[in-house]
Amino acid sequence: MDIEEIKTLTDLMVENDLSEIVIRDGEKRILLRRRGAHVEHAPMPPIMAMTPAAAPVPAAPQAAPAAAPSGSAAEAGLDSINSPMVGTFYTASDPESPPFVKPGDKVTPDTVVCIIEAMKVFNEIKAEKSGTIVSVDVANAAPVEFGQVLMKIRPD
Amino acid sequence: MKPIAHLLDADAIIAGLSAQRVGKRIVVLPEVDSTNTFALKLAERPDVDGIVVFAERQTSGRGRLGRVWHCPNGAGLMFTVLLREPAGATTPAAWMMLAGFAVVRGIVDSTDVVPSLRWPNDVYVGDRKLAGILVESRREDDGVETIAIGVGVNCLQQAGHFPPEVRDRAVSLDMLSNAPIDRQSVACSVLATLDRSLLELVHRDESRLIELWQTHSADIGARVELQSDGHTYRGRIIDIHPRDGLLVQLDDGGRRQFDPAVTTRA
Repeated sequence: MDIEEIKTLTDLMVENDLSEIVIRDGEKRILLRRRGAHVEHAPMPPIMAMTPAAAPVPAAPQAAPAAAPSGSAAEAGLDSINSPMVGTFYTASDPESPPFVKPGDKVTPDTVVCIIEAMKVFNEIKAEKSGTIVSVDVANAAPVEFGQVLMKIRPD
Repeated sequence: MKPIAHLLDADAIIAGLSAQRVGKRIVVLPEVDSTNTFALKLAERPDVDGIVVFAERQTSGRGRLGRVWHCPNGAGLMFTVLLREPAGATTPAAWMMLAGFAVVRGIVDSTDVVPSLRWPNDVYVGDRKLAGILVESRREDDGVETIAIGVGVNCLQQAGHFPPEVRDRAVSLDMLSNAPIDRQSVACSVLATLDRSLLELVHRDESRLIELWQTHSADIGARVELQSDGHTYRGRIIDIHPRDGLLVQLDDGGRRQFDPAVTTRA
């Protein structure tokens, strides 16, 4: 994938008001995230992260939610939601449904944030803390290991 | 139904065993370089016979001939059984056969999966690898031989957990089973089989060991391609022996024995 293709994709994201595109290119997994979707001002440049398909997506710096104070110390004070088991990660209860949570969503300890299929069982995973989801660090339907970071959260 | 634990618990494993020798003591490590390396470090002490070291994650797990054994955290069953034996009384190949038999029988007894043994140290289901065994031994100063039997069983991996280069040749119990896999009960079952059948090996009944191994293998009569001392050999397996290795009827007419320590199977 070259820079021209990425530009084309970025234009597509702006045109369709998408905040995120995940592309698999052989063994590479490319995540494009765009700030300011649904906002009128000009979009910020996308952030790109490349990882091997099997590895967790690194924390792409994420647009701070509108209500949160702006600042460069975005990673400071972040907590994570980790996988309590080995299995397959799902963002939604079925392919047609919207994701349980997306970056910017407020969660409470009882909020279901994802499903992990493990040992023939679909396990609803709860946030177990209050805060704002900052990033979803694993692609839908990706395998996860015990303790792997699934999401970053800014605690209340 | 009791929920299945997601991480191994030493107390629960001990409670599931009635060990004469294997599993009298259990250590569960969250992470270690290799359970065999860790166990061999313990072996300098005389009271470690029968200890079993488990790890949820190995940072440099090894296979035979220096290969890397990769496993996601919490997905596999990786352990080393440490034994102290009179030096020279047995061969590593005999321990490999015993461990292979114990792994297959333990899996058959605790799950609905039926694997088979593939000489020298692999456990397969069809043409996919489910488990591997690595035996290492060391002569101690007190005339005793320490034997580390390392076992790795793929338990909870999904296809996507395996690196792409081995994905079509590897499989886990969870992928094969119709029921949830409880790693602890698989562990107890393998260790209990090893504990029971150790007695037979200690009685030096080699023919019984061969019989046990062959019960669970489709290797006798199978076609095989082997690499040894820089050459490739093709032929049919005639016999498998804990001391002499593999006896093969070669396609070019001759017969040849292969030592598991220096042979690679394609």
